[in-house]
Amino acid sequence: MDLKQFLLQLRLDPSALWLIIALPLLGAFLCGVFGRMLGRANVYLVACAAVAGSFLLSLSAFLSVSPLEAAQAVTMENAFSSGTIRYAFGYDFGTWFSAGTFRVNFGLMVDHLSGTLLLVITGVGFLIHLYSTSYMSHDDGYWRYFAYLNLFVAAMLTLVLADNLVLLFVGWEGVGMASYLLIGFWYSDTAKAWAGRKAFVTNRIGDFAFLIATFLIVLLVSAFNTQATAANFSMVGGNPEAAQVRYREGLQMKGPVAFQGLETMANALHVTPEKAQGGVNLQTPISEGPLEGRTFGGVLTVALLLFLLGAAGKSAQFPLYVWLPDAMAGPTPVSALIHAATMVTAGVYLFSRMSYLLVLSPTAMVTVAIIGTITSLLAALIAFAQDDIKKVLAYSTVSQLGIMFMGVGMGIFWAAVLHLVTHAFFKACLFLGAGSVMHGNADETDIKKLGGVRHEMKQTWFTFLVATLAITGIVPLSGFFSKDAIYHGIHHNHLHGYEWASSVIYYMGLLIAASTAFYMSRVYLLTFEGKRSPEAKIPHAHESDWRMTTPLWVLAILSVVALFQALPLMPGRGGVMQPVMENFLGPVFSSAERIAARGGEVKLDHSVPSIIDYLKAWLVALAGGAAAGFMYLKFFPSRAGQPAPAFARSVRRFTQNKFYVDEAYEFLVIRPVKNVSAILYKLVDTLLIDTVAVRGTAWVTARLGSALRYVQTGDAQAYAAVMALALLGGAVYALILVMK
Amino acid sequence: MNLPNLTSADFLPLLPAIILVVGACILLLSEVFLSAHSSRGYQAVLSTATSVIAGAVSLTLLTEPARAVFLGFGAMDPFSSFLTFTVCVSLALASLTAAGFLRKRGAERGEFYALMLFAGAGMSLLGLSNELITLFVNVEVLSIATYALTSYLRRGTRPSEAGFKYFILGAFSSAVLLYGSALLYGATGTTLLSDMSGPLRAAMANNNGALVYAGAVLVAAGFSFKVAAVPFHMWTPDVYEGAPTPVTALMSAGVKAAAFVALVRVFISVGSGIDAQLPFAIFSTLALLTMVAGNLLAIPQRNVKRMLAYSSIAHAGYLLLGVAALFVSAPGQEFKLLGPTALIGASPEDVARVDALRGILYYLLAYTFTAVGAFGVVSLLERREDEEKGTAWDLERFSGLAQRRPGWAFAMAAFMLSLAGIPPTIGFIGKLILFRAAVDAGLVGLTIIAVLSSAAGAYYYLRVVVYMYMRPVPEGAHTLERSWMTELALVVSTVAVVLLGILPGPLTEWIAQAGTLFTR
Repeated sequence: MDLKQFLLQLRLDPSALWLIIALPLLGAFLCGVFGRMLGRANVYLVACAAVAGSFLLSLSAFLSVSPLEAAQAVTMENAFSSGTIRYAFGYDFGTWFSAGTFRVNFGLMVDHLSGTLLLVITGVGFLIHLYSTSYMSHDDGYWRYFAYLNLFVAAMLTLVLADNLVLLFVGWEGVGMASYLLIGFWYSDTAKAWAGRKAFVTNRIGDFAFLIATFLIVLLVSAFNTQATAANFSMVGGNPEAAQVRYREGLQMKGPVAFQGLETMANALHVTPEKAQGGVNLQTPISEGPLEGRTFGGVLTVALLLFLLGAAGKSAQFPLYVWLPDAMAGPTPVSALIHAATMVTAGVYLFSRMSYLLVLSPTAMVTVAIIGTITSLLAALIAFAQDDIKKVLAYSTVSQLGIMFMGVGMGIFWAAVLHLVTHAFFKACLFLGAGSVMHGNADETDIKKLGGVRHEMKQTWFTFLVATLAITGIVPLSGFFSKDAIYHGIHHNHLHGYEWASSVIYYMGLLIAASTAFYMSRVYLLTFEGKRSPEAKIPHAHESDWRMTTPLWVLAILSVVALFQALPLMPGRGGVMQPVMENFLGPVFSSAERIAARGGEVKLDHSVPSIIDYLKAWLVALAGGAAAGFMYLKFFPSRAGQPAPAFARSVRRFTQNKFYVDEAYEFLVIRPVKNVSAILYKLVDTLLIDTVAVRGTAWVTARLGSALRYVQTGDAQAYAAVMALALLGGAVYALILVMK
Repeated sequence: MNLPNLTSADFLPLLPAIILVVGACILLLSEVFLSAHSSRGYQAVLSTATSVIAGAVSLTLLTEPARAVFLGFGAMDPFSSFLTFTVCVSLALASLTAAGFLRKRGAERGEFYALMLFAGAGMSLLGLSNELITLFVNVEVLSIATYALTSYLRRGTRPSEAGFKYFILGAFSSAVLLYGSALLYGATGTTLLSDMSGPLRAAMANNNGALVYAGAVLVAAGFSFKVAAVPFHMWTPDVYEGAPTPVTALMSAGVKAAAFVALVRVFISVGSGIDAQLPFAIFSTLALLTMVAGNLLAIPQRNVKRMLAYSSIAHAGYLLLGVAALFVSAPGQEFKLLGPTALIGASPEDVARVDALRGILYYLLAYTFTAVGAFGVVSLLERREDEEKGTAWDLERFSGLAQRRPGWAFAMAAFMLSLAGIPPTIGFIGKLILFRAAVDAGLVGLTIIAVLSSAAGAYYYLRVVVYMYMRPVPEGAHTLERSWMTELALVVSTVAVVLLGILPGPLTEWIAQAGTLFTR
């Protein structure tokens, strides 16, 4: 009871939200600037304390928006409509920058979606900081490492807390930069430095698309503002005229990129002309500006597809996923935090945040889902034949992110977010487990040269097993429920014009699930079961110390406990019991639900999976796992050196080489670009720009400057004479003006 | 004899100037009780504190409504209050810089700081002068103080040469200014700027146009000298180089800011009575010449102090571009006054004009932080022994600074980037706002030249950065003495330059209030 009272009182003042970001940022500053002076222990302390403090603040923010007693729920004033936003609070720190009528505010906001992510980022982030204190104990660059890691946490928190697209983009770029710095952390190794560069360049392509999409959204908002009539605002709530005035005030106060404003616009945009009654709808052409003549719906779809390209860069989706496997060059805890648990889920977060825009465009939705499916299947197949333990996990991450994109694309937002959370737990656990295995086996990453680790590393073994079962979808672990919730939603949601997508993507999903079970079992079996490989670097592995195993246990327990989020325990609409997470995220996705229900373009289903569905999914997972068990324990329990059967070899070569995607990129994109740029470099850059333009103008400018210098004689009379002459010139001009 | 009926409200705008004068008097009088060997550390502190207090007071005045004070001789408006704030910033930073500079030379005296504060009071009063004679008196108040400051270090030939040149040419330009004012008075019969537009129109109608135009040209020439516009700039490099570095900092920031504000005030009033084409032609020509020549002349300089002098000329050119944007008017359209009322329902030209006013103010503050900081670094590096040889400010002095004093090098790099207008610095935001206002006013061609010439400027700014970070420390380099006061000025300027470059929002909103100007 006392604890409950205490938790109820734990409220964060909205104006203190910035502290959540500032703490890790301060930590990054201290570690980066004074790190070498502070010494190892102090750097550990500063970095961990910064994230721990941020976690406590996040917890209190989370409890403010989702208190234990519903009556205490906070509400937030909506700047764009007369209503209030329930279960959310935020603070606007005023103008960040403005130019004319365009403005961006520095506003932070916590609702159930960002609150959940806050806890994941700071919670998992803290565990990984703790783990790193042991993992990096032999590295001299520890202060740089912790500075970057803290910087990453700060940027990721900015991304999640931002209440507008531009501030979100700051976080988006910030995490990209931290990721680049950490992938290339051991920069003296050229291959690792190149991996960092590859990640950076690939992300640049996505970020460019993100920026263009943001510009399109700004143009769309301003077109909507000029063309919308009061009829549009009949659905926003209250008196339509007053609602429109309020919306305009909101735009003036918070600028066009605020999420609240986008949500109000999405609510006010009608889907079809019949329902619009003179208001703006998706088929209305834009009347002025650079987008003149294009329809609102068309521009919105293009913007969302560009956001998809941006998200594909950050979240490693086809065709931009190639950087993530190479990103494993960074330290393993980094892979766990950035390239599994948090940063790569930014794309899923972005689409969940803008779910109300997404449901206006079935075309964009189905594209998201298809891209997710392709990515997921491709990555799962590649993971079959990878021998590097971290590479398998990397492709597995790509594949799981694909599943989240499938969910987002098919409109089952809450399940995608749930999978994001459970995936953060079990994938971080897997990565940290892999790191522990490497740490205890003299940095061996080839699973064929491991084996039998189970007996020497009991804690690592058990937690890895739990996480493996979770990702393969074995009842009753969290991965099963979250993945199955996505599949169920995919099967039952329908996009207008793309009805075929529901079942096609669903069955592809089952195939992916089976593949996941197969390659994860393979990794587990080859690493932990059987006999120790004769090629192992050291004869005996050793278990890691408590700072590494504690996070493993916590994450393993979380991967089990998180399952309750998917259990249908909460009373939903019509008396049907809803999964906890669906109920919890209900306020966030209510606009999307409403728009979907109103427009009829997207049909969102709310049924709960039946036992049959569960059984089906379970059988699929078991089949995949059993196949792996059969192949690697019975059929050919081979270690390196022993030939595999011929049929397996030919398939293997293809998947092992990652379907030659990297080579295809090399041939189709990189080489042509390189050749063209070489020609441009020689012709345009060296000759035209360097020689003629730059050196030429520089030469002329310098000569001119030197020549003018001679006028500066140091003689005061000469100065006065020049002034008098100029005065005379002015007088003559004035005289001419008068004469006219 | 009729005494005007003045209330305390009339004295309110004078408050910052009064504080500065009181501070100056305390400094002067306390000097009497000191012997030659007494410790004088308190003087810089007192001078800085006085400036900070005056600056704080001027900030509270920002919210006062615009009105005439002293029977219309002064204008109390956010525009002048903001100028006073800028002046106080430059005074405070220059005082801190002077502390280290004077101690190194054993030349700390109360008179120095008192003169600076007197000059500051003159600048503040110049900003709110709304009458030609008051204006002239205040120009002289600040000028005479700066003449004396320029030749304050009497040892050596350079300071006296600089002071003498400045005085001779300054007297010439004052005469021109006074003559122009007299002609304007002759044509209109009034010296009150806010009463001038009616009589000016009448004078134009009565074939007295020549008198008016000649007066306007002469007044413009007088101000052009103060703001160092080409071709009235030739004194600048010699004087800036010869003057003590903190004084140079004050001249390049405070004096220039005050002159610009007075110039804008005079020509908005005069321009409302005559064809706006004349001020537009004058200022666009001056802007063009100043931007191009300032940047070109800075390129061959290896002497950093002289380079900064030319750079200050170039920046005056950008500001003149903003001034020219005030006087753009569509053919046949009458030039409209900018009233103290909010601009609801204003035409796009009016909005552009207000944006230009705000741009000028923002740029002045941005330049103040940056330039005073940059001169602060110069003052830390120079040594008296090298002055006569002329090598005290050579680029070589900056070689390898990043290894010897990383903090100074970082601050200087921030200032150089800000002067070049590279984000994320306040200089970039200043240029952005100013150039945008000019483009909105229709000055596309001039703005392109401004952007190109500032791109050329990046060459000599970045050269300093190259020397600091990419050149080895020269052998036999003398030790660098530290001074916590000067370093405090560097910290404040660096924080302002970077922070306001990243978060310009609060300041732009502030300036949005200050963009109103009292006209009648």
